[in-house]
Amino acid sequence: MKTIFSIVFFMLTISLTSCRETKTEDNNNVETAVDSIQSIEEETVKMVEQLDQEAKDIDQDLQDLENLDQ
Amino acid sequence: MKILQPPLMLVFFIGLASQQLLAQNKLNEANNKIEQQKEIEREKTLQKHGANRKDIQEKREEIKEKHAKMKSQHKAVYSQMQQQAEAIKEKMKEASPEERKALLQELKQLRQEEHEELKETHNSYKRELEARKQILEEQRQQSGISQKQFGLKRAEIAKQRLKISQKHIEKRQEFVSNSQSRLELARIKTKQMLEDKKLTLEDAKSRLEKINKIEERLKQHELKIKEVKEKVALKRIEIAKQEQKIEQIEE
Repeated sequence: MKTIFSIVFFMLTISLTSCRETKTEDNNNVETAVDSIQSIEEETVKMVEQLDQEAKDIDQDLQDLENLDQ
Repeated sequence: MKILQPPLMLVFFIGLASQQLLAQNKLNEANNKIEQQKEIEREKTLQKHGANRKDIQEKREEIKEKHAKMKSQHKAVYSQMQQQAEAIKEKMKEASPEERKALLQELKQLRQEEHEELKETHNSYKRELEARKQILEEQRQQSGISQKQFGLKRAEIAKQRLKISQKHIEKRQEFVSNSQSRLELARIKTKQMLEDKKLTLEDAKSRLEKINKIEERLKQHELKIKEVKEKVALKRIEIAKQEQKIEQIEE
């Protein structure tokens, strides 16, 4: 009886530990995914801003060219 | 003995009933105490949540304030730079070739500074994102949202932002076609001025060279727009993938 009880207790401890580990792993995975999402967003903003700056420079040069006639 | 039996039974039952009543009373008292304790705890939790919410709200306001301040500072610096650039260009009109060279150098430096400014804006945006992330995490912990739900919400926000970026890029295409028309008009005008002898051949040549240069830059810009458009589309797919990863995780 004692042996059976200790085996059951042992198994219960193992399953609880593994369950906890899985939970932590899952949380870490979500955190990594959220970080990736954030960096994707950042990269996109950077690309769009660079594009804006380039357009601004071209527009400025065009304005200079048009101002030559005035 | 037989005579004593009924009264004894009666006493026994009365005793039993009173004991039951006493037990019931005790149980009621205990229940009341538990209810009172629960009420006190509930009030304490509400107070704590209220304080935390206030704290988060204050933090959010603080970040917003800082961001607005930084934005206005950048705007002021940027407009100052623009003014300086205008002044340099004005000077260039009446400058000798050597002076013009020096002024051009100055203009280049100013543009470099503008780029630095842009970089700083981007970095501050990064810092803001980090702070926002922290607030979101605090909010998540308080509202009891699971990591999974939080991740899904974040993915949704990112998808919306990328959608806005895509719309913005499409507007850039309009800028390209408008600029092409402006260049064409400048070319026609230059030729017309040459025919009317309002321009010397040299001046007309230099103008046409400038037009060609801008046209080349515009072509490069158009290619870049296409490239960024494709990249953003890929980024959207990447976000969808990350979202799928989060969805697969059990709560």
